[in-house]
Parts: sequence; C-alpha cells; structure tokens
Amino acid sequence: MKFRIFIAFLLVLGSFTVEAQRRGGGARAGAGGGAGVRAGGGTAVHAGGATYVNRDVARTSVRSNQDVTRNVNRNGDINRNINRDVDRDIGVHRDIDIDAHYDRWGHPVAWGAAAGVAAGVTAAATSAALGTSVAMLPSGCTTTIVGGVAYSQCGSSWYQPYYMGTTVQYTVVNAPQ
Amino acid sequence: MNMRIIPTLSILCLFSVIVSAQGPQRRQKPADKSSAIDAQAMTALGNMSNYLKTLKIFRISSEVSRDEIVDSNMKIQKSASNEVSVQLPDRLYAHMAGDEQDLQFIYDGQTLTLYDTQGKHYAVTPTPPTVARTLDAIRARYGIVFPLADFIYMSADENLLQNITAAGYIGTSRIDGVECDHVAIRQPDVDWQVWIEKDETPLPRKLVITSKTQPTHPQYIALLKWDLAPAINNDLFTFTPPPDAVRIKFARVTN
Repeated sequence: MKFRIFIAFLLVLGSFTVEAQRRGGGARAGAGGGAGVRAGGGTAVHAGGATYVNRDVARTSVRSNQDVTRNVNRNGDINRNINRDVDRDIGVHRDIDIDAHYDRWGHPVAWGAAAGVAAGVTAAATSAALGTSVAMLPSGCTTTIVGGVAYSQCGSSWYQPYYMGTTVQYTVVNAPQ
Repeated sequence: MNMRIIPTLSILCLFSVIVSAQGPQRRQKPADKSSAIDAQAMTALGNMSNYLKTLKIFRISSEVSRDEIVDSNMKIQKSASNEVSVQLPDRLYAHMAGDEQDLQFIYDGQTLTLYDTQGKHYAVTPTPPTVARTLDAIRARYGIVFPLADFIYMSADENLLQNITAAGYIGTSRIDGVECDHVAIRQPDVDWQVWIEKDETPLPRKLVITSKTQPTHPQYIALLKWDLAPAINNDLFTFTPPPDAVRIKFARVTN
C-alpha cells in the first residue's frame, strides 16, 4: 500500500515536471545568469565571460543565485561593503582569466603538463601570458614577499596566488617593482 | 512481488493517461500545482524551519559526499568532514577536511578569513555584520558557497521554502538510529531531500541535493550531527596567522 502511494507521488511529480519544462526555460536561464557564479558553486567561478574552470561539481545549497542577488541588492550593508572591497583590493584582477586545468580524473594539472592538453596554453613554460591562471605552479619556483604580497618567480614569469572560490590559483602578473 | 508491481504500475499509468485526457480538467493548472505540494511534507519542513529559528548557538558535524564530473560525464564521489560552529548573529567558525583541501573559515562579525591549512595561504575580507549577510557577500563576491549554508540561513530566520514547485512526504526513515520524516522537494534547478527528526527537536539529519542543470545530475549528500550546547571558546572566532602563513587575496567574481 505504502509502495503504491509512493508510485502515485512519483507520477504526480513526473507530470508536473513535464509541465514545468513546457512552460519555461525562462526561469532556468535567469537562475544561471546575472550573478556570474556558475550553478555548480563552490570551486567553479565564472569571471570575465570568456573564462572557466573546467570541472563540474554538485551544488551544495538549494538556495539559487537569484536569491543571493536579490538579498545583496536589498541590503545596503552589503553594497557598501562590496564597494569598499572593490576599491581596496580588486582592480588588479577585475578581468582575471581563470584558466585552471584538471586532468581526466579531476586532479589539478601543472603548467607544463596542461600545455599539451588544453587549448590556449600552447605558449607554455618560458614566458606565460599575463593574466592566465594555473592550479599548480611549474617546478623550480621561488616564493618571495614584496610589499606584503606573495609572489612566485618561475623562470622569467611571476605568479601571484589568489583564492578563486576556495581554491588557490596562480595568476601570471608583471614582475613586482 | 514483481508480478504485483507491474500490474499496479500499468494501472497507475493508465489512470494518469485517463486523468490527463479529461478535457475540462486541463484548464485547472493551479489545482494541479497545489496537489503536487503535499501538506504533510510542508508541515515537516515548516516545523524544521521554525525550530532552526529558535537556535542561537550550535555546532553541526557532517560527513559529506559530493559528485564531481570528470572525463566525459564520469562521476567521481569526493568526501569531506565538515564542522560548522555558529553563534548568532555574528560569529562563525568552520573546518572542512576534504580529499584535496583542509580549510578553515573564521568570522568575527567584522572580517572573514579563509585559511588553507595545507598550502598555508589565508585571505581576509571585510564583511557585513551578520552571519547570513556575510554568507551572501562571499557568495556574490567570490563565488564561495558555504558548507551547509541552507540550515544556517534558516536559523537566521530566512525562508528558503518559497521556491518549492513540488513537495512529497516519502515516509519514515531511520538516520543514525533516529526516526525521521523523509521529505522530497522540487525546485526549478535542484531536487532535494531532507530527513527531519520525528521528535521535539525537528532537526535535519540528512540532506541530499541533486543538481538538475547538469546533464549527469550530480548529487551532494550530507549526514548531520547537531550539538545544541557546544563548548565554544571565543578564541575560535579569531584567526591568528601562523608565522609561516602567507596572506593572499580573493579573486572577485566579475560580470
């Protein structure tokens, strides 16, 4: 008896889904846009439009990005704080190009190894393109602190670590003065 | 058993065909929609939500499994142990021990620090004055979705039940030996299930989220243990960087 009720529930849900799909791709498109955060959340950050993190993960929250945007806009505190934050420590990476690479099993791939796999990284090891980011530094780098900021020098390239979401990525920057 | 299920299924399918073929009923879309939201399910969710709002201090310990999609739609399940301590309205500490990372979040009402205990990197950002708004801010600015954020939002008096398009009461289920109401919910982009204690403390004991916007429908599964009288030292909410730790910045999510 219980089983039959469950089946009936599934059927109700099923018929509803069909209707929801028929009525609106609109809602779905809306949920994905705007905030610029991918539906995957967590480690997947969308920045600058043409950028990506090539790894998909399950969502960890039922709250949609639309809700977050709505709350941020509604709340004066947050706007004030975001602006303060932008002024203070953004700018450098406003158009940062997230180009993290993962191998077929989801492990982050170091610069040299990724060059053979991923499009757009063919310039490879000696002088990396400004603004590109990698999940791991190539070997043989030295880390120095310049003006309180950490940099890694690898050959003629300088990298600065950032948190992209909760993952540290290394972005190619100009040599610090 | 199978022999009994098949006729039952066929009869139910036939029944649904007959129902949907009834012309006059087809204009009654609002009625269809409301019938997809089960009252018993919503009562259980409402009780949980209301109970969470009464909490002022709590610690959640969770064992988490999360699907990752690699190599042309192959699913790999990653594991993590997360512990989140919350003292409303403005203190929070979380430790996430995962397969690839071991992270700490420390929030003291003014700043939030993310510390990677293995790489020894930390970043600090100014925040709004409450836990809930701070979780909003780090998601909007940095794309960070906080572990078990949904229940923290509920405890901070936020209604997360408004996007529900369908809800069903599945039945009673035992999680960790505790009798729970098992509820299934549909939203436009996720389906989720929650197991809620069937007693005077209707806490969520298990959460499953299925992401529908991805073709492989990856899942997130969290088993939860609650401590409603945790021993919390105030130092927990203050981050003192180890001498060899390196301060870095958060990359901002841009449009």
